[in-house]
Amino acid sequence: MIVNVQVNAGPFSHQGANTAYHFIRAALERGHTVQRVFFYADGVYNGNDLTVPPQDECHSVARWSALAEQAGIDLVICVAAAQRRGILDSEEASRHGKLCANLAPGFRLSGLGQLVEAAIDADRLVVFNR
Amino acid sequence: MPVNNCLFILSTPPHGSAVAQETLDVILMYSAFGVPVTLLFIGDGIFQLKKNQSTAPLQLKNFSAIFRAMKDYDIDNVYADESAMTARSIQLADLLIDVTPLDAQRQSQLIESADLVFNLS
Repeated sequence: MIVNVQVNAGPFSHQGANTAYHFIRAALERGHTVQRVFFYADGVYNGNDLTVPPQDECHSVARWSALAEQAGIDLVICVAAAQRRGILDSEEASRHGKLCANLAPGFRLSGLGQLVEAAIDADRLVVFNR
Repeated sequence: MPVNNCLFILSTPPHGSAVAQETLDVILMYSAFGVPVTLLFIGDGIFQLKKNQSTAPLQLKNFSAIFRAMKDYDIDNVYADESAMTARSIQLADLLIDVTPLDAQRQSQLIESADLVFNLS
């Protein structure tokens, strides 16, 4: 089964993104396919490369990056939601005259159309809110 | 998965959080992809449809005009929880667009018949 995922929760304040991660790992272990994770609303903070949690806590941003590399999952961050919240890749940063870009490795910025596409292409779209 | 009916449940007031505004963007995108869209307003979500909102004093964007544009997107299936309207003394005439009030049983049928249910809150 193709299972795509939407994450609307940030990495720290709520459980949703963590649950989504473990859901995806479990789905992959069962032989399902996860093509894309779409990050929307506060979920875009999962791609903030400036996130520096204490050493004895899970580095959830790095964990997503590792998952993208290991499992070849397309991690897409909504560009409009990201711009409002200060998550920029180098192209967006220079376009808006900002000194630094902070999109974590393995993520890419794109539009909401990628969410609709992920829903249509999958057998299930599973949404994690908080 | 053929998405023939995407149901959006709107349960938050228009301001105080970004949920309403960011949900609207998702609704319009599904619709632009040709996915038939149904809206169900429950709880404080019904306040999103109130006429005569004034957001300028709070420097907030007034996005209620988007609801008026929904007809252009062929979004006609708009429902509301009738008990939520009653509890808030909201009449159909108070609302920006045409809405069909539903009882709890009809709402659960609506949810059951949807291919995809979206609730950002």
